[in-house]
Amino acid sequence: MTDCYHCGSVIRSGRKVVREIDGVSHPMCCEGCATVAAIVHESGLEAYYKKRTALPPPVDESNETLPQTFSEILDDEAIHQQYVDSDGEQSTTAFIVHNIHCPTCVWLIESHLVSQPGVVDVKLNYRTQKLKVSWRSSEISLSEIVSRTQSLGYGLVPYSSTAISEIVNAQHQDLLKRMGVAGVFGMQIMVIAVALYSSAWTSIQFEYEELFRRLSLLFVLPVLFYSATPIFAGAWRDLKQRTATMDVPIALGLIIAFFASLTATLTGSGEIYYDSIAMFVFIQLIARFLEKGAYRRMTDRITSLSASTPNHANRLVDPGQVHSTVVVPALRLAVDDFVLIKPGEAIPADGEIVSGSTDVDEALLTGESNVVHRTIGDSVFGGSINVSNAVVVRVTRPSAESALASIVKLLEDSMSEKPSNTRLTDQIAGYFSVTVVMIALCIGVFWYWSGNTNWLSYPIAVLVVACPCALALAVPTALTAAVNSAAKRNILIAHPDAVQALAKVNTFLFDKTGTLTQSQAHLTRTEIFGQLSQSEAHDLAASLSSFSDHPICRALTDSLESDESEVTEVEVEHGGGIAGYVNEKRYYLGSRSYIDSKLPGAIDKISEPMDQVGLIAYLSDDTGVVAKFHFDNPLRDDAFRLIGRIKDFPARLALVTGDRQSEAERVAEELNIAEVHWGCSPKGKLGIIRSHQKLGESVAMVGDGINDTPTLAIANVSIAPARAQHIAKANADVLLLDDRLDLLVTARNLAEFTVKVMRNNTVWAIAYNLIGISLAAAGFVPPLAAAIGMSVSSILVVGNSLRITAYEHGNT
Amino acid sequence: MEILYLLLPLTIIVSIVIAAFFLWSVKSGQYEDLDREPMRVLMDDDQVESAVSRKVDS
Repeated sequence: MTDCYHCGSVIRSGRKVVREIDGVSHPMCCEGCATVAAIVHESGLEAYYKKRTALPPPVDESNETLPQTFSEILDDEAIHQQYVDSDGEQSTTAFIVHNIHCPTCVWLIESHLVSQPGVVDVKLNYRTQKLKVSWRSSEISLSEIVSRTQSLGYGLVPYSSTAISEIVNAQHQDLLKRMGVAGVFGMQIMVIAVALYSSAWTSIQFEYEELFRRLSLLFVLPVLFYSATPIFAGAWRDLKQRTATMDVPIALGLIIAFFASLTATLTGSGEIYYDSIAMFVFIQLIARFLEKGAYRRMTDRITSLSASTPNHANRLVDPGQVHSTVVVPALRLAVDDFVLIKPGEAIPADGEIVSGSTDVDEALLTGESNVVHRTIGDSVFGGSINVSNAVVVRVTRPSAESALASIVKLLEDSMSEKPSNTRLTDQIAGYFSVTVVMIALCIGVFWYWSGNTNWLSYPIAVLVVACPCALALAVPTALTAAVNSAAKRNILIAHPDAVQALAKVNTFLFDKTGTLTQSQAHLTRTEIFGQLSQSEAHDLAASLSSFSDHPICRALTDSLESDESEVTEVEVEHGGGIAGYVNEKRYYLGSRSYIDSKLPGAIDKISEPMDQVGLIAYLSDDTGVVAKFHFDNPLRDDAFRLIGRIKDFPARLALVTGDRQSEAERVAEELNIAEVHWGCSPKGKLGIIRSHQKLGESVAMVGDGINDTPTLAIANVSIAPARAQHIAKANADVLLLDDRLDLLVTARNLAEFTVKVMRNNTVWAIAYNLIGISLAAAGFVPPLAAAIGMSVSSILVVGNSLRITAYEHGNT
Repeated sequence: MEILYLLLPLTIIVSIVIAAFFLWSVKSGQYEDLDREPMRVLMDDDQVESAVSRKVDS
């Protein structure tokens, strides 16, 4: 057994391709791999094979899943306007590259493109998978650049940056700068602080003590006035909105500590807290930076997922001539354009069939997994898939107003209703800051009345100690650890709030097709009546099936490995069956009603009950039924594994589907799901979620298709499995990157554990602050003790959060 | 201990230079893609002949 030279997968016997490169023959698993390997060598980039740290998937296989970019439309004016920046001579655009698996890919793509004449600059970011290319339009075209990259086995999708990812990136950079500055100057302050603290044991000349204190003041200025500004801005915003978050007590603590120290420095008497201020700002910014960093990784990932090929269409040059078409962007389609739609293609805009008849899969719009037959004069909707035959459609509504666009609209509406999760710490912070200020006031008044001349130092000490460093770290560190830990287990949490929401979920709603069941039907059983052997019946069925693209026929041809015989005089009745001559004998393959109409009484002869469950096809000759095929839309293996594990925690399960009752009930029964909703339109699904939420339940929706996206948006937590469509993934809170539904259980357990750690942290931080405040009120807290207490409590909180990273629960 | 009057101002200057360098490095995008930089060291030797010579020509 040898492995493929390019992709390293085991070569299945009979599929071996040998390609000679530089005089040495290398085994390859498929033509695609052979072609890519040849291109890599021709461009002198064979170092890729030595240096790569991860293997690519087989090229032929990955080509099926990669988004296809149609080079013809890339040179169209409309596409250029949308995606390309041009200054006349030089043009620049960005792409999202799919299929990048290790940093060597980055090198391979950059080196290959930069060696193309006309390409000026190439920059590929490994983390965001974003490729920026500049080229001279006079020497090379955009479509040429794209096809060069695709020839290496990567998928390319034009990218226009979303506002969200730009903002997140800018915030990230800004925070990094502020954090660095706080670190550099904070460290100087701490070094000086050591010298000052040591003066408690050895003496220090007053002259130098003054010098050190003034120098600290100088160093704290950039920390406070540059690094800490986001904290002050946040506090100011909260005060204006009359809400209290963590920022308010923090800003209050910083300001009080600074002015107390400033007075002490200028008058030459009293305590200084510069080291506490600097360290505190630095730790705060680190926490925020980590939190934002996790969020940025998620945003990048989602941006690259949601980038999809611009829709295109084959427009007829002349309405009478079916054979001459041009590829145009779907946006360019106007009313009364004629469009040729081949089997397997998406319908680019709403229209009316003018020639041919076909089956259309409208699952994206209605959630119905069965196909609908459409013929001349019928309407078809943009976004649905043409399943069986090529048809010509006259566009009746432009792409932007199509039914698909209206689903996206529905989605946007439901997004605005999404229940927001108020943060635990923010609620606490509100009470906390008010309480602390009250306590400080009381203490000031108490010491003043008791006649202490140094009365002001007591409330100041209270406010400084009360600065809730550990409390502010309690939640963000736990959430960041949870998001990172989930990512390691191939669970992508799109935003940190989803962790808390997921821990609260008590109802899981599942979509059926594609999520719990496989997306295609399979042949399960064959019954034989008469003299034919089983393999003969299979041969006949497969031969007839190859004439139609109906899902049942595809299931037959896919699951039967047979030698196909020649079929003559084929008649295909759409949505019914196929008739044809094989070896001069006439056969019929089709549904019950089709056979009934062709050979009345044939089915009664084999005494079939009327109310059969599941999908069935019959094969008959002129004398009667010879074989009967049972099909099944089987459950995915991981659905059983999921149900097995989901019993472990208290959550209710429900099934919602657009399918018919019998199918929905079969699936629910097999998986032991009590609550079933069938025949639901996307709107109906929204209603079901709302009715659950009205009962006070927290709902998680697991769905994979475009028709699920509105429901995903309204659910408290939305989860998209690995095979979900781009748009569903782009809108999910939680994304499973592995094709295993039982990751859901892992995600849920991790979320619960995280919430527990968050509570621990919060309780501990509050306890620390309460003790600190009481000691400070009594006058027992010098600045050194405040600094030590602050760092120890922060380290404890961070350490506790790190437990999440190491968290294992059962066989995760 | 008069040396402190020289060393402390020096500290200020050095700190400012370090901070300025850091700000510059963030601004010039050096922290944008941390996964790829370690690879670059390994791949630099394998620069494609044609690409290099073409860049030199132009």
